[in-house]
Amino acid sequence: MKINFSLSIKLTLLVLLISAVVIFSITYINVTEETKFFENAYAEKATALTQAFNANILSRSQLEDKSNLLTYITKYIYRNPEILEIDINLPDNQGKLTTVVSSNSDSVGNSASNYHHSSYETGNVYRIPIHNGDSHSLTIVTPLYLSGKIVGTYDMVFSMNKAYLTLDDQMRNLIILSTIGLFLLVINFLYALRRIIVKPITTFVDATKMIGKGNLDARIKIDSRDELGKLASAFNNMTDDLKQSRAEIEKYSKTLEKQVSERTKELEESKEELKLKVEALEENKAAMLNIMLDLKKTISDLEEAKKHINIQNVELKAAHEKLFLLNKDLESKVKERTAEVENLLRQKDEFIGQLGHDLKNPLTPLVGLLPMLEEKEKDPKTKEHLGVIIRNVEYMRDLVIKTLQLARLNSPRTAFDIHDINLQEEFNNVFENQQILLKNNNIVVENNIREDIFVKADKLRLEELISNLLANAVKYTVDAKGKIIVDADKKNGIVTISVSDTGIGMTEDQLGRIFDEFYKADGSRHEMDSSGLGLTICKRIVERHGGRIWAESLGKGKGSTIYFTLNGGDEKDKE
Amino acid sequence: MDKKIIFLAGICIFLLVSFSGCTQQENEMDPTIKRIQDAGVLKVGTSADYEPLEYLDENDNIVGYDIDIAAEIADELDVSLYVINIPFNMTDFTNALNNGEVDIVISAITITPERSEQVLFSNAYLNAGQVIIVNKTNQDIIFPEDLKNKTVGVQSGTTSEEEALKYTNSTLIIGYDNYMMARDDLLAGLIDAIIIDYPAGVGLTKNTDLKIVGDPFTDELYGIALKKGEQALKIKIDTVIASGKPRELENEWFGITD
Repeated sequence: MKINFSLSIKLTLLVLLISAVVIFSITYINVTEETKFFENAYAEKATALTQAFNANILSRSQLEDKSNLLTYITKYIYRNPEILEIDINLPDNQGKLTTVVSSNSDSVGNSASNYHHSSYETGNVYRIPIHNGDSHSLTIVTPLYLSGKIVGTYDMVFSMNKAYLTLDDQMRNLIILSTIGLFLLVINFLYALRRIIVKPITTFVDATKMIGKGNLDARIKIDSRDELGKLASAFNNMTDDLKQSRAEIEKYSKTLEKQVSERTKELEESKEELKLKVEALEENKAAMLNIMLDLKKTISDLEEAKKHINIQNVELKAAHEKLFLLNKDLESKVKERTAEVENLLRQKDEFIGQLGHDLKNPLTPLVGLLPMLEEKEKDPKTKEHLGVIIRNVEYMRDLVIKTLQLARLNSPRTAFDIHDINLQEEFNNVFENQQILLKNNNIVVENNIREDIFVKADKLRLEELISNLLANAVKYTVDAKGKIIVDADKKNGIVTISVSDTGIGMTEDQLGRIFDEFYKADGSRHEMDSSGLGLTICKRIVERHGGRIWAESLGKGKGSTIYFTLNGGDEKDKE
Repeated sequence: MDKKIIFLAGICIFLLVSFSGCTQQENEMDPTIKRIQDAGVLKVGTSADYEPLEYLDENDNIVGYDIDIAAEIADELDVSLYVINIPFNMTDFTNALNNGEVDIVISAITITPERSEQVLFSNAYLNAGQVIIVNKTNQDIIFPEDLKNKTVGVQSGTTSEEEALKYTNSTLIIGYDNYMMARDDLLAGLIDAIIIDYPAGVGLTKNTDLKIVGDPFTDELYGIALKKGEQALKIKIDTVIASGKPRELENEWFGITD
């Protein structure tokens, strides 16, 4: 069996128990005290009565007159209704106390009790309360004095029934009052309990139920500062936290739902796509099967073809071997021819060199001696002829020298001594050397080259290049107050140098051919001062330095510009 | 849960014991009382020739003050009353008690040492001795000795007259035919006091400005006779006497008598 007591009942039972114990204890104490009080009151009354009784017995003879004594005690009892019995005990012959006169005739002749003996001997007064059921009595045993001497004893039995009746009434009232008090106490306690504990707890329970149902706005309003108040505020805080958490969860689940729906949609779309693809695949499959059949056919064809190819391959191999042999033959022939050509070229160089030297050597005395002859000749006619000879000799020497130069430049065996050279300085040096030529032709030179531009070049060849270009420029600048401008620009490690003049200029046709050997811009002129090899030498020098040379002109009479490139050099290495 | 049940049971037992302690009953039963209660009747012997204590009314029913007291005793024993008429003779009374013919005898029997040897007497329920009656305003007369040289009214030829002679001059004693006249004289202030036996005195002073002075100065103490040794019954009767019921009945019975 299981009994569920509510908190109220438990506490009420406890309070009831404690109150009952306290109240009944108080009642019990009260009754005991009352009883004692009654007994004391009776004892005092008894003492007074016995004293009065004693005072009435004045002599021994009065004691001996039993008839008178009986009347006396009977009357005494009649006058004092609370007295039930009076016994008078006197010692007999043996000194033993016996009842001689009694309101209860049955008691006469009986020997007295120990109390009487004790009282007779010591003079003590005894109070003996007897409670027997409804009857409550008090027996007082007193010594009997005669002329100051104890001559016997007597006892009085008092009925305390009336007093106890009152006491019972009082007790009943007390119990009724206690019960009412207890009842009120319990009601008050229940009320207080309900107010202080049960109501807040019910509030808690309600709030908890509401929260259980999902209503997180439930709040507990308890203003008390006791533990319940603290609990309430803690509970409210918890509810706040819960609410916040739930909001977050809801938010999260909404996002999730959205995501799920999106994913579902995507999945369905993918599914659709897959379906389509599968359909397409099914179609493809059929097509594939066809293709495969075709392929099979093709493969068998190919197999066939392969056989043919194999046969052809064998033939090809044979052809290849033949070709290889042929190739080898060709190679050796090429080598032979190359060697032959090189040999011939060398022979040509040697021939030219030899020829040059052979031509040059006889010219040297001519060039040295003929001007002297011209100086000494007085005859103007001869002088004029000598002048023609000198010019032709000089032209020839120039031609020979230049041819030799060209031959040297053409020869791969000619080595170049490459250094870092300051371009501005180099030009200035050349201008310095050619000062007379420039002056004679009234030509102004303008050097626009920055001093920090260096080129990698053979110093002597570079001088030769610049001299040739200068000479060429001067040659074609016939007007007075001609001007030659040189400039250089370095870009990506390549220096582009330009030499411009204000001379006669060139046609497009001429621009493409000026660097050819023995080409002269003016074909009609057969002057002795130009060999037609100058620009060819320039081209060769530039090419041997790994550069490029070209000419630009805006047209006849508008001047021309020769451009060439050289590898840029480092300032450090200048020397 | 078992613990709770035990706890509750404990409380119940505690409460029961605390209450039952107040109403503990005595189960011992005296054989005589048991016999009376078993029979359901209290047999009372009386000599119905002494009005107003015990006499036959017009229907020959035995009534009177003593009979009412006997009825009270029967009530106390919770039985009905049965009254037996026995002519006044102490030996007959004793025999009737001893052979169980009656349980008690109530018949205005004066308690004496001699009679006490034959029967067991209850405590006195009535003192029918002589009393002094005076006006309520009188403060002088308290004891019989105070009657000296006072005019005293008595009924001629009664014990009262004899007692009056002991305390005052015979010339001051006025003998009346009945106490009604004496009362009127006392109220008129013609006499100082009246001497009369107690039951009649209660009736005479009823509803007047007269009072009984003290207790009877002679003793005629009536007791109820029981068989020797019937202590339990004696206690029952003494309890009724001590309860003051006889005094109430005195006012009822001892009214004006002619």
